[in-house]
Amino acid sequence: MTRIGVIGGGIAGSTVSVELAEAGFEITLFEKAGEIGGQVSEFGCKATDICTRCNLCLVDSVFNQLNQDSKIKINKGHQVIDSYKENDSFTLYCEEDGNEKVYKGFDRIVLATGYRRWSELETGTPEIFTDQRIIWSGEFEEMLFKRRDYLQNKDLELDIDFKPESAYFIQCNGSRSPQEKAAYCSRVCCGYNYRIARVLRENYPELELGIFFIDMQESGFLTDLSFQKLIDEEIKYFNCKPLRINKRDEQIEIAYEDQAAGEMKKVKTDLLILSEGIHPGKENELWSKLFNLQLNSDGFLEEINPGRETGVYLAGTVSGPGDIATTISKSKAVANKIIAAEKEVVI
Amino acid sequence: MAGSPKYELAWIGDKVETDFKDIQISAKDLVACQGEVGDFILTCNDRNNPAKIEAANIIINLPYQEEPVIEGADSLLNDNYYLKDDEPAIIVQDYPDLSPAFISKVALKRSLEIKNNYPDQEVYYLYQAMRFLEDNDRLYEEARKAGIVFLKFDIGQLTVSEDLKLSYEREDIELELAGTILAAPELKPADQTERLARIFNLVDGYQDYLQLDNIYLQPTQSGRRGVYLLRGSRGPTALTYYKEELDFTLGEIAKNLTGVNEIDDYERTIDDQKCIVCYTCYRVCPHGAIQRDDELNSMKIMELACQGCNLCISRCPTSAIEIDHDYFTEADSEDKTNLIICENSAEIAAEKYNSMTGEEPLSGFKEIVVPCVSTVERKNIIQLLASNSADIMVLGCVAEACKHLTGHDRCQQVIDRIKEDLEKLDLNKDRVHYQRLSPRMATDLGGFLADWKEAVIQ
Repeated sequence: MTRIGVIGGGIAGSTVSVELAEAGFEITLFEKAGEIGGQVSEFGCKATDICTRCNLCLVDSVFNQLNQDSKIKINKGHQVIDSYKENDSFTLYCEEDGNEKVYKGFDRIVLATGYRRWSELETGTPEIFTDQRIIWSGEFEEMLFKRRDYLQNKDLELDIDFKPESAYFIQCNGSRSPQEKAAYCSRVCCGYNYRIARVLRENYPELELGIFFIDMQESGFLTDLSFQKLIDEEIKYFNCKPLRINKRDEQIEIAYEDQAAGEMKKVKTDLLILSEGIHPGKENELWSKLFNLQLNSDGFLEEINPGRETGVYLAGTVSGPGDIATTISKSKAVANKIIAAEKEVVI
Repeated sequence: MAGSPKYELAWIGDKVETDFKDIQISAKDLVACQGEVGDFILTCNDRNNPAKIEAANIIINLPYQEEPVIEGADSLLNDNYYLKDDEPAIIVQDYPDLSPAFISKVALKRSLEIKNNYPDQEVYYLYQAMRFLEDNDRLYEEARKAGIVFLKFDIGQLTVSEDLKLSYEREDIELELAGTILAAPELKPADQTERLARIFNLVDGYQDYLQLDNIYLQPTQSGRRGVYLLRGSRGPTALTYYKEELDFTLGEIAKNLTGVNEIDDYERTIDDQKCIVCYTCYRVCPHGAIQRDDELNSMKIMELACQGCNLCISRCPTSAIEIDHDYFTEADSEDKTNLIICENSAEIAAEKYNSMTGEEPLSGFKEIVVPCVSTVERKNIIQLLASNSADIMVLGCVAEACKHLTGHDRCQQVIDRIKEDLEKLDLNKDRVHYQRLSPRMATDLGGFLADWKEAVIQ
C-alpha cells in the first residue's frame, strides 16, 4: 500500500490526509504541537445576522474526519528534523520529547507546515503594542472563537475590561513592507478585518469604526468588499498607513495624513486592532535543504521539479499566503495530484 | 450509443490544453444535458460534432461579458488600441467601482507595454486600489520606475465628462486630463449563462453567475457533481486565482476518473404510479440529481448525483418519493426536548464542544440527526409534538454554509407553516423553534443549549 508522510497537522495537512485516506492510502501525519489543528483552530465564526463567508464552516468536519479515520496515524509532538531518500523511499527523523525517532518507508511526502503570524516573529514586539487597548486580529479571532452571542442574543464578550466606544483597524502590518522583509501582500487581512468590523458593528451598533489601509484587496472569495460597502456600513476608511501611534492616558492617538485635504490629522480611539501579515514558517529553510526546494525571495517554498518526479508536494501556506478556502482547495488539488500519479491517470 | 467514443471531459466554451481525452462544445450549440457524473450525455445542435456526446465530466469555461463604463473610450482588455502620438495615454481602473485584481494585472502590463513601445509618451494610471495577485507587486514597482504617473483617487475625486475629459481632484492637485483613455470594463456573467443554468439544472446563481454564493461550492464546483465552472461562468473574481482554480478542477476530474462513489447511504425511489411528472423535485433539487425517465413516464433519482438532503421528499406533492430509512423513528416519549440537528452544522459544533470542554452538550435532549434540515416535514413535527409535551428545537445552517444550498430555507417554510397551523388550532405555537448556526459556533451552541436546558427545567 502506498504510504504518505504528511508534515504539519493544520488545515492543509489535515485536508490532504483525509482526502488521501479516502482514496485508500496509508497516511502518517507529523505534528510538532501537542494538538492537531494549527492556526485555523483558533479562529472563530464571523457571522453577523448573515454569514460573512469566513469559510471556517469547511474546517471542523475535516478535523473530525481526521480523528475518526483509522488509516491515518497521527504523531503529535513530533518535529521532523531530517530526511533521507533511497530507492524512492523516504525516511523521516523526528524529535519527540528530546528523543530521536525514525520512520521509514514513505513513498511520498507532503509538506504543510503553514506560516507564522507577524506577532510570532522573533524580532521582538515594540513596547507600544503591549497594551490591552491594542490587539492583534489574531487575538480578536480567539475572542470570536469563544463567542457566545450569536445564538443567545447576547453582547459579544470581549476579553478586555472596558467597553470601547471606538475601534480602529490598521492594515498591512508585516505586509507590503520591505523593512519587514515582506514586500508581498498577505491577501487575507482586508477580508478578515472587514469581517471583524462587521461583527463589531452588529454587536455594538453605536461603535465608531475606522480602517486604515494602503490598498483594499479582493480577499479570496469574499466578493462584496468595496469602498461603497464600507460607507454603507458606516465604517470610516483612510487610504493611507498611519504615521505615528501615541498612547495617551485615555485613548490611543493615531496620526495620519489626510490625503483628500493634504494635511496631517489625528484621530483618537479606544481600541486599536492590528492586522497580522502572513510570514514564512521557521522551518522553510530546513525544508528547502532537506527536500531540494526553492526558497523564493519572500521566504516561501516553491517546487523546482514537479512532485510527480520528486515525491515531495507542497500544501497550503508553506508556498505562499492564502486564506482558508484557498488553502483547502490548494490542498485538495495536491491530494488529487497524488491520487492521479499513483493511479496513473494523466492530468 | 454503441461505437461512439466516450470523452473524459467536455469543455463548454473555451478549451484548455490537457492530457485528458476531451471535446470542445460551443455553449450556443448545447441543447440538453442528461445523466450524472461519469456518464453525462450532452445533446448538441452542431454540424461538427455528433448529436449526442458522452462525457464523464464537464467544465463550463466561458469568458466574461465586458460592459464599457466610459462611453467612447477604448477597453483596457482590448489588445488592438490606437494611441495618438501627441496625447498622453490614460489608464483608468476602478471607475466607477473597484475592479477585480485581474484587471490590475492587465492594466499594469498594458501601461508598461505602452511605455516600452513609446518611451516619450506620457502614461497616467488612475486607480482606487492596486490589487495584488501573482507578480503584480513586481509589475507595479517596474511601472513606477518606468515613469508611469500613478494617480490614486477616492469616490468622487475623478469625473469623466462626455467629451472624454478627465478631471482629477485630490489634495492640492487639480488636473484636467485628455488623451487616449483605456478604461477597465465592468465584467458581467458570460453570454448564455441563463440558458446553461436551465440546461444543467443549476440553482440560480450569485449575481447572475452560474455558481451560487455558498462556501461548499468553492472554488469551482457547481451544485451538480461533475460539472465545474471557470471564469465568466463562476463568479466576479474567478480570475484572481484562475491558475489554482484550474489546477483544482483538473485534479478533481482526474480523481473522478478513478471512480465516483455514492455520497449518501440510503436508497430513494420514486414510485412511478404516484409520480405525476410535475417536475417539482427536478426544480427544487439543489444538486441536479433528478431527471425524467421517459420509459416509465416518471421522474428518477440519479444515485451518484444525489447528495442525500431529502429536499425532494419534503416537496413532492404526491408523496411519491420513498426512502428506506426513517430519521424520526426514535422520537422520545419521556418528555425530553426533541432536538433536530443538521449533521453539517450543529452536530459538528457539538462534537467540537465536547472535545474542547469534555461536556456533552446534547445530553438531556433527544437528538435526531438529519443530513439536512430540509428532511423535516410537517408530519414529522406534528408526530413529535403529539408524542410528548416537550418542545421541539430545529438547528439548521446559516444560509451561505448550507451544504444543500436551499435546504435551510425549506425548513424555515415548514416551520412557519406549522406555526400558522398551530395558531389556527389555538395550540401553543411556541413549542416549535428554529435556529441557524455554523459548525464553528461550538461555544455558542454549548452555552445556548445549557441555557435552554435550564429554561426547560424551570
